[in-house]
Amino acid sequence: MNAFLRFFEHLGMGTILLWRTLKSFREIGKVLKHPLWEQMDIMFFGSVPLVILTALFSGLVTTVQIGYYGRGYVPMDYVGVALAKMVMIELGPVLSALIVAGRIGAGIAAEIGTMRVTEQIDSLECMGIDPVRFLVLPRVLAGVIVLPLLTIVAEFIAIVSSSIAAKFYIGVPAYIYFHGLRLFFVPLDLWGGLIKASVFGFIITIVGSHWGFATEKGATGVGKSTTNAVVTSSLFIIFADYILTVMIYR
Amino acid sequence: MIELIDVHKSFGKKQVLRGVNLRIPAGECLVILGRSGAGKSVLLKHIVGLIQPDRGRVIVEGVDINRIPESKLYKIRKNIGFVFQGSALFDSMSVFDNVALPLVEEGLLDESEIRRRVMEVLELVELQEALNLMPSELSGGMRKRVAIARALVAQPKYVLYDEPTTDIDPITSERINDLIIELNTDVGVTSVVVTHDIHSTLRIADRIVLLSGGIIKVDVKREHVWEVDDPEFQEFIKVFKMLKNIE
Repeated sequence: MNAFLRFFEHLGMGTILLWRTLKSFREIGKVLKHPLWEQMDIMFFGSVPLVILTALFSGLVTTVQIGYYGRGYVPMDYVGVALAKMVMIELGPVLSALIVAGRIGAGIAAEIGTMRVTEQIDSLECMGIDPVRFLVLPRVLAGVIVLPLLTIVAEFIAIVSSSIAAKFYIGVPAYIYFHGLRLFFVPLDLWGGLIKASVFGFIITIVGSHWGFATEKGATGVGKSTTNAVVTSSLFIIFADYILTVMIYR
Repeated sequence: MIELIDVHKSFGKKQVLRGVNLRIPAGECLVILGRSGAGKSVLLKHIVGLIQPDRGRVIVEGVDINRIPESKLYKIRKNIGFVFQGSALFDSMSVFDNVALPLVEEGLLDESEIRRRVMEVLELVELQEALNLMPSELSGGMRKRVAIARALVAQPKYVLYDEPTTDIDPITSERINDLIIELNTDVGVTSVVVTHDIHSTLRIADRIVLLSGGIIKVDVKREHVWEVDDPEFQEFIKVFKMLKNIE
């Protein structure tokens, strides 16, 4: 019963935070300069090495697997198009989002959570500064902008690594790989993936901020909030992925 | 003027405030004395609306702060500086940025004027040299003084201090006491100080109230403290006398 009540308590708090964040867009001018760039810098350059590594190996593994499953059934010339579609629609945005959820979502929850338990958020309130506008808005905006950028990097790396794997593991030369890719390329594949990435960016930052604000009971509380931020945003990403895929590609 | 009328507050089953009535006139230095866990900080946070009462009213300059929209509350808060027990400095900002933040956010002054005002308050707390340091590089006493500078930079009418001399050395403690007196007498800032430090209390207070059992048990002008016959209050006075004897 307690867990049931807590679920609805967090749902209510999350909804209020969401509403206050949307309302704080009225003061967007105040965050457009320094705070937004600072957050974008932290999110992009902090996550890009991880995203590159993950995309590199995802491209390699997926290509080897396509070679294994498709041999004898699918012409290997189509490896490029199959992989590109998979990367643009699904792997790029979802993998990047899950990595960022682990890194940025946890970071936001820990930072805001520490500010909560050390009365820094109370201090902002006392100065007449809206903490949602000051802390959440720049992070949410940065998330919405940076996630698609990271996704483009991930897609580029995955396609390049896949083309290399295609040549060495299944004997498809690069020009055939990219010819197949171009032949069946539909712009919606790319745009749909980037729209997904933006929504995931919003989810990660707002969920991280929520758990930060909900932090209580000192260092233990900060630890719990960090874990909760990663788990909750990962679940929301998977859920939103399904909804968005149905909306965009059905 | 700040007024608390019949303020009640509970956290779960624990009743912290059981009907506090308190009036703080402009220009006064009021000390709220009480033992640890008596609800002093909770009471102080009611004055800025960080905690809402379960029952009762908190009135700041004629406005019931719990019955106004958040935007209006933010405007009222700009008249109140709050010095937190743990200083609550922003870890990611330098001393200058911490102190300048209320002015930068207000957006009414240009950069040179903000710099002048920040330097002025840092000079007041004797920390002009620490301008570019980060909070992690400061001692406890320095952090507290930066917090006081930040609370003063927007020239508030009221400053609320939550345990300003706790956990710091006696010399810095004396400097902070002097500062509170200076601000109260020279600048005319209304001060509300929460503490369990009886030495500081008797140095700075115009009036002293004892919070105990969730109510104001003693309310007395400083010059009359020796006449109070409340046993808990006398315990505090006894500690002070003991310290004086040692001296």
